[in-house]
Amino acid sequence: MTYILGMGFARPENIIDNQFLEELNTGTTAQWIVEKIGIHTRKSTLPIEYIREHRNQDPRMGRRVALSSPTDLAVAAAEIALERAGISASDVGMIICNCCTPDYLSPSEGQRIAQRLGIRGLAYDVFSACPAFALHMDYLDNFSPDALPSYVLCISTATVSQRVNYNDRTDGAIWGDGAAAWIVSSRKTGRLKVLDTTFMADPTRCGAVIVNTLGHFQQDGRAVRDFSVRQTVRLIRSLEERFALDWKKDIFIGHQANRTMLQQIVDNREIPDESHWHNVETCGNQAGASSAIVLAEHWENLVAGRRIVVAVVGAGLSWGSVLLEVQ
Amino acid sequence: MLFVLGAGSFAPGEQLTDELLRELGVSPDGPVNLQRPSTLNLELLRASRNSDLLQTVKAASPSCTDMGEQAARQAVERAGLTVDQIGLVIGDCATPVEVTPSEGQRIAGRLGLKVPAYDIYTTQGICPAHLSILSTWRKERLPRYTLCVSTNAPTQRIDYSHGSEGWMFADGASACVVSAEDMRGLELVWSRFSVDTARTSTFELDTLGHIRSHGIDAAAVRAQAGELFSALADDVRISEDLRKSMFFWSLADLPLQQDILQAAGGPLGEVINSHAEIGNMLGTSSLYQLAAHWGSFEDKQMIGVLVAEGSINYGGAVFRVRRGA
Repeated sequence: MTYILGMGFARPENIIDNQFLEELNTGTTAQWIVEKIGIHTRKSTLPIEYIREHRNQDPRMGRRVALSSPTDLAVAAAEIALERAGISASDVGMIICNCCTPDYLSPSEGQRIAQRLGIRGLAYDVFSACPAFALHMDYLDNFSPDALPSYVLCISTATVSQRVNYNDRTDGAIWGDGAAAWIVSSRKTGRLKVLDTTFMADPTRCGAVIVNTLGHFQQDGRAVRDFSVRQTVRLIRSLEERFALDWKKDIFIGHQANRTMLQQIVDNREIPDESHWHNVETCGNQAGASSAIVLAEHWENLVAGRRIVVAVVGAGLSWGSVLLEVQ
Repeated sequence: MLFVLGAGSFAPGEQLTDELLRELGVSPDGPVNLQRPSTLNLELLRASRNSDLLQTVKAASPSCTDMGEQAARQAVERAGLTVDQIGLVIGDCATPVEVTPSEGQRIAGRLGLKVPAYDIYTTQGICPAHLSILSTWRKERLPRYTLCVSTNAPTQRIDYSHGSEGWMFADGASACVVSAEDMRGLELVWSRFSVDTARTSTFELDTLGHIRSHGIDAAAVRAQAGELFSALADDVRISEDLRKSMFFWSLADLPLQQDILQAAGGPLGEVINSHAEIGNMLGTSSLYQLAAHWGSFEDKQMIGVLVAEGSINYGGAVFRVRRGA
């Protein structure tokens, strides 16, 4: 049986609000953003004045002026996760990392984070962008229990705002930066017990969401939105059927892509507000870190006996779910 | 137990010859007379030396995904399978054109597959990293057939305007189909995948920039090779048979490699160094030459791959040939 022993998160300080985006004169308005995607603010590693003046037309300049990197955010998140798990970095035997906006293609992001934390075990990247939480938990479930060390550090980090073209009226409104980290063990018990994991993909549609290595983020918004809502609903339905979920007690966390999409999903499954945890309206879409950040934000007030559904979708196109039980 | 049922490789047609590199002002930093297959547009290379990466990537052909697809199809064909029998695709690419989606997803998409696909990225590539990892999975979690693909185009990320940076690098792809149920081909009898984050990587690649090589740390190579040779010697199931083996160990410093092998007293049989023939394809190299030799192995022969370059990742894999491969 697998457990999550500690979780942490980190976000940059700079806030991009809708008024700022409206003042960029790209054709969007604060009202449109709230109505269409339900996001009010998002956090960015980019200086606000830089965005205002340069619109991040050249990601190389964005990288140079960025106030923190995906690695910085990941290390900060990991330190919180380690502390909450009651272990030190030297106890970690393996790191797996997901990062869709690495500053370096080599060494891998996982190895760079391991170097920063002083972790000497196995370190590498297991990558599928936004559904990272489900991918990592499903990936670890593949291993024979004795093939994994006592503590595995999972990290998902991204600074997608550094890959946004702020002349685009939509993309700038979506993305926020952030990192999540969580400690997993199949040998030690912890706060969250993993009851079920899934991960699946339809790579024939992988062109719908891209981040050009030397350029910007692009997506087929409508196609991705339809896929996201449909697939998340399917994931939840499957768990409802297999585990008799009770939305009076159980919790849902979706991929934090946009608030209106999440509302469609919870309306479809009749999930009440108090059972739906989210942060997209203040933090934006934090890519593969987003759902894990929501969970990490609630770490200190998890209630024993409750089950938590994390159902996530994203680039690839890929999707997955994790069902957890609070111990 | 894990079996490699088929292995494939692909290299682009253009080559960066010694003459061309000397013409560009690149001085030798390794073996000479290398083939160095490359995706680069040579006319643009002569004019720009890769100073404008956007221009370089736009003009390059084939792409990493193109190469990966070709290697994958060859691996599937050699395994005697059809693409629709693949249940999982794992990718590896240090030079992707898009950092999202993963290279594994792009290649799976090309193959028309609707199966789980993602990247396990270590810079070490398929062998031993992917194979070592898959060999520790619970059998019921592994699909009947898994496709592993590594594809790299480091020549697109070299600044050819100075020094010796570009002397060793080449582009290509390798792939293999593995199974824990279909027991034929190459049986994986030993593997080790190690990461030493106390070391410096032999090269660094800025996502938005060029490759920066840090050279080979001879002491680190000796230490890693020594550790792997000891581990191989300690495994009584295979140690005797290794003297009749064929090993693939790519290292840019040929004299260092020969010195290490001599000092070790020949724990391995024939050692083939792909860097010395075709250049450094990053993580693709480890399986590339094995795939290129597919069909020439003898039944029950031991085949090995070593990755010991003094970098962060090192390891190895040993296979026993079953029913000819």
